[in-house]
Amino acid sequence: MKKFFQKLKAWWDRVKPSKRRLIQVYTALLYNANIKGFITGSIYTGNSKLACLPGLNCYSCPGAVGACPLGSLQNALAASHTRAPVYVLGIIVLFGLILGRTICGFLCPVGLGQELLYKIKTPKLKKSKFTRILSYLKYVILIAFVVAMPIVFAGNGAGAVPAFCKYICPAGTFEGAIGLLSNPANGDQFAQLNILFTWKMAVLIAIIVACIFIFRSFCRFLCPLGAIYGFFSKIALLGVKLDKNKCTDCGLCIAACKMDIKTVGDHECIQCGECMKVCPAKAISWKGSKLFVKENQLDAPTAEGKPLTALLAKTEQAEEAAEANETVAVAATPTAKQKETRRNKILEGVAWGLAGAVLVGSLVYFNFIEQPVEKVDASGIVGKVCPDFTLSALSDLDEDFSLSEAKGKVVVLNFWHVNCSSCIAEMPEFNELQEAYADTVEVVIVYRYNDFDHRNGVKHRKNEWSEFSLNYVVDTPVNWVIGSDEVLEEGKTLFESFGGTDTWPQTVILDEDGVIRDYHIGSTNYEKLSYKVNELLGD
Amino acid sequence: MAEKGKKIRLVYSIVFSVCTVALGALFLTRLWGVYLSNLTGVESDTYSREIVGEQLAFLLPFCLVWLVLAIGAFALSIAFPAQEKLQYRDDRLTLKRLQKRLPENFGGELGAEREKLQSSVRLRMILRLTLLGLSAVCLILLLVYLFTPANFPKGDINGAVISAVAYALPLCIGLFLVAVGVEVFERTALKKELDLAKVLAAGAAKQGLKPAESKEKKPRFWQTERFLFWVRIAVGAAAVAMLIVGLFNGGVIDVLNKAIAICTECIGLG
Repeated sequence: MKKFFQKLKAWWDRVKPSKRRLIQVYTALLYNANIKGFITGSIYTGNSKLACLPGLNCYSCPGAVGACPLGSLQNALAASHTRAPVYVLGIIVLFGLILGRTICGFLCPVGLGQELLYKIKTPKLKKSKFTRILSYLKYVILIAFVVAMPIVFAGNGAGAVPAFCKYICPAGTFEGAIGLLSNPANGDQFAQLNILFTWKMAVLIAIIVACIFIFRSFCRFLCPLGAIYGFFSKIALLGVKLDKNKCTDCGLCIAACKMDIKTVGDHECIQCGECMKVCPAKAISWKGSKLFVKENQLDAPTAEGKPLTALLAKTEQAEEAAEANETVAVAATPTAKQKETRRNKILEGVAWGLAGAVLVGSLVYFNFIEQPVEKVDASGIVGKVCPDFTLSALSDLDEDFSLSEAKGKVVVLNFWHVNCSSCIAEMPEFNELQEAYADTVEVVIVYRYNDFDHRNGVKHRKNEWSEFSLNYVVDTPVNWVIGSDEVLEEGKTLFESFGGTDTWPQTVILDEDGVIRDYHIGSTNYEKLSYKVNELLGD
Repeated sequence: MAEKGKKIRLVYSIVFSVCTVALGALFLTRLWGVYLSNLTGVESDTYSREIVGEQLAFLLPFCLVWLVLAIGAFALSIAFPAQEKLQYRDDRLTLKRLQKRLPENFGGELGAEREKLQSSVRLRMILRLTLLGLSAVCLILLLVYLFTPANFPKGDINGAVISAVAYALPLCIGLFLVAVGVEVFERTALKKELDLAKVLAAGAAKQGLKPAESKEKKPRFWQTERFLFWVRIAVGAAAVAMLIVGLFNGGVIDVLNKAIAICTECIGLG
């Protein structure tokens, strides 16, 4: 029996998750604490999304409680013609300065996923100088897809095109698309899938297969966020560091590391600390480890007359320190040594306790205390009479719109946002519809927010569309006349009342009597619109 | 027994790898099949829950087989555990260590060998600099293309991206091939240099020549802790300043507005 337990203990010691793995799982849970989002099929819309998370985690994931730094950066760069993207840049620089690529090694859910896939028992492709060359591809992707394309497309009037998210990012496909589409409540989203989704799924499958054979293939070759944080490797406050005085250039650290590093702590290093276990000279330590070890204690002579540094490799304490990847002060007397170990264990316990409390608190808050945004069943509004409402003009060149004044005409309401490239791309279609059906159809373009900060962006668009015969209004929760069928609710905007809580563009078509006849989420075109309008006019 | 276990593990892992790649390829063909099964001819009807369900249901038995194979691979790894292998040894470090042991002055034959070693090192350096120069040229060409607005018309976003990739791909592939060529040359040259260094070290030991005393190099000012400290302060201050400006110029609201709406482009919904 004793032998069995010994074998079990040995097996557990071999396979138990390391502290780094626990931290990775912890952060993946914390980033996606809105678990009820997976159940309801909607994303979190609370204020915690003002802040960017350090790692790659799509903000369209139903569980995400923070914004994705890459997606936010692309959108901020796209809006740089109207507003300097300093907020997102400031956050990323701060993360890079404090954490550097420790984020990749400890705080990224995509990194965790890749490492778990790598555990599948297949032959593995070792790193080589060729993979090191290939690792520079992520910088090309950073320049082309994250920086250049959003800026240039936005400058050309195409709106915000988050090119990396749109064409490459597997996190968006896995967390966002699969996370949302797997919920039956989002069945209507299937209508929007097309060649782009096919491409993204193909990219996701290719990355998953690659990660099984190649360690962190996405991180090493494709991830622009890792490329950005790599710039901060030298100055980051946290991470691994190499003591060149102790280093004997044996190269074991590089040989053991699965990333394409040239030296420990360079821009390819994900600061995981695995190299500390193999270094025979104990030349690798954590930055900031001297906070726990006083310099003079290390060099203080012992009873044998040797400096402590010389004894570090030999004492039991040093072996424990090597396992825990920490440099521990080895004092001359056993009592001080025991006190140091105890103090570190207490500190660690307090840190885990606090972290646990934060996680539990977040899970409770996001799932039980924060009220979910009610997802209106949009299909339920088709067939109902829309009560009268008034929407204010967006500018002096437009007119207020009242539904009662448009009676006798088919009304087409299109909800858009200045950062939505699909909304902007389809605007000429609505203009064509308005011009073709000038006498019988009223096309009204409703801007989602009465947000003065967006006016510059909206003005820019309006200038482009100055020759369009469209009327632009603003959606505000005022001037309601509550109807008996309760389609519209006081305090909610028209967009929210129609069920448009989390996606756009949206198009609603009312017939000549003000009855809601069609509700469409996503892009549309002149052919589909005119088909529907002809149907209604024919009736 | 260990040898037998090693063979079993090797054969099994090859079979399992082939199955993994095959399953991935099957997924891709099914995905393409979903897109092609466009029965109505209207693009928005390409996907439906029924079509997707039907295509994915075909994959289910293959996924189960793969899962069984994965469990088998895991069981084999417990029964016949493999030793963690090192990735690779960098010959440059070995050469660096050897060169530290070499004396500064050699006479006669050894002097000629030393010259050969140094000229080989110089040639490698020149090749690396050439590669760097080529990379810079390719980067400039790429930047010029990317920041030319005419290459990214708003009417055809997908087409513009495909064109950009088509432009960048030959540059990247060409550069990759040149880099691979340089690496292959370096590998051969490093082997020769290592042999030369070993001969020199043996010769020096025979002649009783002592290695040059390592002069303590004074770190440059950008390598000092003090400089790093001030860089961190400056970068930190800049980051905080940018955050504060961002809070007031509305950048923070942009982040929120984008994050609380489903980014249909980000998740492949177009």
